[in-house]
Amino acid sequence: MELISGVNLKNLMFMLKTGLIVTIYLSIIAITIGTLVGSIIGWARTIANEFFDSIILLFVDIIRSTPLIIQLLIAYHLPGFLGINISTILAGSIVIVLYFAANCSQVVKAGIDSVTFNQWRAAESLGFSYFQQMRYIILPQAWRAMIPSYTGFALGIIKDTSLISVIGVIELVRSGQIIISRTLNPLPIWFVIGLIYFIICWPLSKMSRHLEKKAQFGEK
Amino acid sequence: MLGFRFQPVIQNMSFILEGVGVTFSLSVLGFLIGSFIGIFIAFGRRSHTPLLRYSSSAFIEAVRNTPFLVHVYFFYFALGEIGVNIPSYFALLIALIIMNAGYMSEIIRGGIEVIKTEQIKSAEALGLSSFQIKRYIIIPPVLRVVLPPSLNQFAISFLSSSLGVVIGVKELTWRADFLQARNFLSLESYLVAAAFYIIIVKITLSTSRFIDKKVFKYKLTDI
Repeated sequence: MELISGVNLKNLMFMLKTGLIVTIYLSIIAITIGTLVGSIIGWARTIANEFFDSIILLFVDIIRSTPLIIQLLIAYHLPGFLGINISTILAGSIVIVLYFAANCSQVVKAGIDSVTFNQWRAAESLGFSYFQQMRYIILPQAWRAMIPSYTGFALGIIKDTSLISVIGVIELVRSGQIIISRTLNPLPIWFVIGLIYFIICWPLSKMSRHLEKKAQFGEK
Repeated sequence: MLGFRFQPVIQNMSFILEGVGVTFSLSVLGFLIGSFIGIFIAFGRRSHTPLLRYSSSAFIEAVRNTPFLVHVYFFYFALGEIGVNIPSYFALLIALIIMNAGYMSEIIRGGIEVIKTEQIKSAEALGLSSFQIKRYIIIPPVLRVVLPPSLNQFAISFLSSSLGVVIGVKELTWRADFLQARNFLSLESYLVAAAFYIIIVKITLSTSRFIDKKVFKYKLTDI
């Protein structure tokens, strides 16, 4: 189907597909590496002394209380300022990984803190090692407190990957912009882009609600 | 150190401060109007009319599962195609209102679920007037549940208004971007803007924590 000369549906679908793959790639990178880094930071905060804890908290707070778009713009300009040369997509990925890690660390810290100290003591008196206490006593309980906010942030980061389009990485939103600049009909394109995000996020949010219910069920 | 030059940015402080005002007006208006609409959506979600229930549910799911950036582009660029031309400030404001309405309705729904009919009945049995029931029985536990996440949502709304930079709303991020395009001091401009965001978000979140600790001394289970 030829819409405008040189622009056919096949090309548009190809462009959307390319963008979609980059969005999915960025989301997976952000969630996997971010969860890993965030869990380590969150766990480190529970055993760190007050000084180190406040230093980690300072960085986490700075990341959490500035808009992602400013972080991305800074990451876009910073390599040139320092005289190193990295690709935009790498700079963007680092920012969203750090952003997710910061949020995730707060979730993990709050989850571990939500388990009362008596549980630690009881586990200790049963002769459990630190690892065993974590594995069998603390984490199963902390997990319940973590699930709702963790899944919320994970869904949020999938949507926030769209911001990377601002620094020029061709992901779903940017490919949408490119298509619009060719076909000049923004309404259906933005609708389709929104729909694609919806198709990705909606099952995940349904799943997270199911997980939440399952986690709450154990408490009653 | 590293050759930072903040002087040219600080000279344009009034320019940046105006941006803080625009950002603030956007996020406060978006949050307040959005919360107001969110109340109706929260009640709509619990209504017995299927049409109301499904449409408010669909609205919430649509808002929560699509990126805010797409909303902004949709209201600014896409609606132009059918002849609805919205100035960039109002396009961002509408996007913020809708985003806040979607998220606040869920927060408010959590608050409504705290209200228990038994408590209202026992308050009536104690002879409290309807105003007293609202003042002492219904409002305090609802606020306890609703207020902290609402302030969190306000902070999110505040940070989200930074997307004005992509459609040319003259808010804080746009002004930082404008300054860096003028004097090539990219990092300095963005860092100054980031400092303003941090200050305001910090104030909001510590208010939330203060309210959580001092105003609501009783845990929900104690009520």
